[in-house]
Amino acid sequence: MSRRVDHLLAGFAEGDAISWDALRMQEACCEQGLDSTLYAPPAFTESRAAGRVRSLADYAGRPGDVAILHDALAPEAAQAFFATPAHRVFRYHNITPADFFRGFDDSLAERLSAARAALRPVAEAADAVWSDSAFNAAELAGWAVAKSRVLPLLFREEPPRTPDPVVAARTGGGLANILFVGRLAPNKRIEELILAFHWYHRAVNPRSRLIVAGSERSCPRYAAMLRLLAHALNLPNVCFEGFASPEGLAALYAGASLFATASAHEGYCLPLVEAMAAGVPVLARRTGGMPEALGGAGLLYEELTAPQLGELMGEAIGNADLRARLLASQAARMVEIRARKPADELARLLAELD
Amino acid sequence: MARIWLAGEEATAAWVPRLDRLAAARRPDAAAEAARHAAPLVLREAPDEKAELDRRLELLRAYGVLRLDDLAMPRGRGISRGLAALRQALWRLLRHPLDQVAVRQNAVNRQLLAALESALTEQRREIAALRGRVAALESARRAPPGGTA
Repeated sequence: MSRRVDHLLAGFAEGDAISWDALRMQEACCEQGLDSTLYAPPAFTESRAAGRVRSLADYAGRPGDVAILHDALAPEAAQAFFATPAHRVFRYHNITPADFFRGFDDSLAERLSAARAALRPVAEAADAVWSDSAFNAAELAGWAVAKSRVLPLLFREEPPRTPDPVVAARTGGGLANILFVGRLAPNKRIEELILAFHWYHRAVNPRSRLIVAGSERSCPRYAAMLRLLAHALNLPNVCFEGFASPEGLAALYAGASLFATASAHEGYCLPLVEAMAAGVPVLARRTGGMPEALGGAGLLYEELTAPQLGELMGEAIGNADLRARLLASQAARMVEIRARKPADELARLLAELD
Repeated sequence: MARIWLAGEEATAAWVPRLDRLAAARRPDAAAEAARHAAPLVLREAPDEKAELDRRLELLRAYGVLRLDDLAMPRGRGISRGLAALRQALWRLLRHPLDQVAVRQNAVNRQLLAALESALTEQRREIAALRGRVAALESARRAPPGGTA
């Protein structure tokens, strides 16, 4: 019987970074001729993904197989991980520090604290820990988890999706679109983007729009605050798109003049890579795993005021020389990312388990 | 300290002064002032569920009324004068039915908001009354039984 490499997930949704990473790893395993299956609780599996993901209740590991746990926050997946006789690998995608959520959602903050506290037992029970960025590996090293290896988040461009015509029409009209993609959570510091956009829209380019695309379910109070801020600043051109389908995202990237994020904590930030792949200039805060994801491309900043950030948005959109330099650096970075051989990288890490 | 990296190279020395110069030249003081006041006003953390509910109502009040006056008439930049005139004529024609729709929608929104606020006020009044009664009962229970041995 051939070795199996199975993935234990908290859930599965198209467009979710962890789900995509597990899917890419599964494809890399299949390229090597290994059997590989994704397991997740059916209640948290997107209905259209049901064919490619099996119920976690069906998981039965054997000695010699490999089980990769992708989310320490998921109790069912962690339970299966602790019980399996297979080699155990913990894939660390980062857990947002609880302090970002205090005041906005104290119960979630407590859960995140508990999850961070539970990381060490999970890592200790694992035969190997694979972090998806050097930043995440360094974070684990800070908790005395020394065996972490870095396997950068896997990215593969999907076959081109037809952009959703409704989203394209709604966000078209010749305006300069500044796009943010990600959950509406306090660590993303979307309020700083709104304040910078306020400057850009009022002082630089009134024919502009800030599009915030991402689920509002993570922290509804924070999402409500953002809407209040946009209203208080009289900015009807701040558009909250909610969670975007792959077709919706294709339309948003196709119509974006700039991708911007002020996030203060990211383990890697897959949307930066998606934006680069779509040929959209990227502006991001220099923190967490984002410099690593950009790999020397794009525009990074630290501690800019709202007017400075608003002016930088204006330059990234309207300064042809700067834009060309950014796009050239991003194209070079995408060549590196596309040249990766996930199957080989994975094979090397799997060989270390024996 | 403000810092900028461009395509992997630090560009702080060139770019931060440039951004400051651009911002100073535009001088949209009112915009900056509004931003300074608005941020703490709306983003301060709601300390409890009651405060959160109040903020959601504030949001409903802010977004619940449709104002067609806010919609600018299309001026038709970059298109022919005839086409611009047609667009403006259509805009004027559409305003009448749109006004009616907005008036009806606003009536519904106002009723909903008023009903919600009324229900909330009533609920808070009832909770306060119940808390008073519970406190009185607890106090009566803790008190020593009447009379003497």
